[in-house]
Amino acid sequence: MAVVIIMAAGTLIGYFLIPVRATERFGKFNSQFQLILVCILIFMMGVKLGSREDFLQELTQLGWKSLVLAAFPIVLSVALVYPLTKRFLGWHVRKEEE
Amino acid sequence: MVYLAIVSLIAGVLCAQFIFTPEISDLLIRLSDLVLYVLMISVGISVGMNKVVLRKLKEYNLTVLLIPVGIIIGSAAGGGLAALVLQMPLSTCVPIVSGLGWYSLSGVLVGDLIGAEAGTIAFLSNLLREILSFLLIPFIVRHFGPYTAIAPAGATSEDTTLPMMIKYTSEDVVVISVMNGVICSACVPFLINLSYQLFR
Repeated sequence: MAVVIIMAAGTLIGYFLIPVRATERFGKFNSQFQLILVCILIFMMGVKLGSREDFLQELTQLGWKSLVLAAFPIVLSVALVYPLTKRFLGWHVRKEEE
Repeated sequence: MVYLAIVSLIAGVLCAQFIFTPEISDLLIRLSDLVLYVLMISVGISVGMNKVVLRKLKEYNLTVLLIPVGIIIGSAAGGGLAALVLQMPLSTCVPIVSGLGWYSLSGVLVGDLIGAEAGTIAFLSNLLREILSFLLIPFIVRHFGPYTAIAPAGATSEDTTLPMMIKYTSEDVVVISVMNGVICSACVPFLINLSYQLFR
C-alpha cells in the first residue's frame, strides 16, 4: 500500500506544484527519468530471478503462463467494452458506410 | 522501450548467474524498494500534471469512463479465468492482469508484492498484451468499432499503442484513447495492491 500512497503524493505534487507552462519540459524530463528507473528496476528483477538456481527450467513454464494471462484479459475486455460502447456511446460497426 | 526493458531483464539474469556474488545480488534486491518509491513519485507526478485530461473528461461527459471500467472488470475476469486454467491462485493472477498492459510497472510492483517469479510473469504477460493489442487494433476496429479497439490496449492506449489508434481511428477516438490510458495507468498500482489484498 505504501506504493499507492507515494504515488498519490506524487499526483498532488504534479497537480499543484508544477506550473502548466512547465509541464511540457518537465514532462519530458520526467518520462526519461522514469525510463531509467524502470530499466534499473527490471535489471534488479532479473538479478532476483537469476539468483534462483532452477531458473532456466522454469522459463518455458513462465512463457506459457504469461501467454494465457495476456490472452484472457484481452478477450474479456473486448467482450465487455464492445456491448458497453455500442449501448452507451451509440457506436455500431460501420460496415455499410465504408 | 521494449528492447531496453528486455535487455535490462536479460542483463540482470546473466549478472546474477555469472558475475555477481550472492552478497551483491542481495544488496541490489534490497535497494530495489527505494528505487521503486522514487519511480512511484515520478509516475504520480505525470498523472497529476495531466490537467488537460480532467478538463476533457468533463467535456465528453462521464460515459467515456465506461471504457476503462469495462477494461478493468474484463481484465480481472480474464485473470480469474486464467487462474482456473493454470491452477494458480487468484491472488497471483488478478494482480498480474491488473497491469493492464503496463509491463514495466506491473512487473516491478507484482515482483515486489508477490515474488520474482510472479513479477516476471507480470512483466512478460503484460508485454505480450501490449504486443498483441498492437497487432489486433486494425482487426478490432473493423469488426467491433473504434471504441472497442481501446479495450485490449488498456493502460498502453496513451503511449505505445497510440500510434495504431491514430492510424486506424479518428481524432475523437484518439482523445478518448489517451484519456483511457491515463485513467487506466493511474489505476494500475491501486488495482494490483487491492486485488492482492482481496484474494489473499
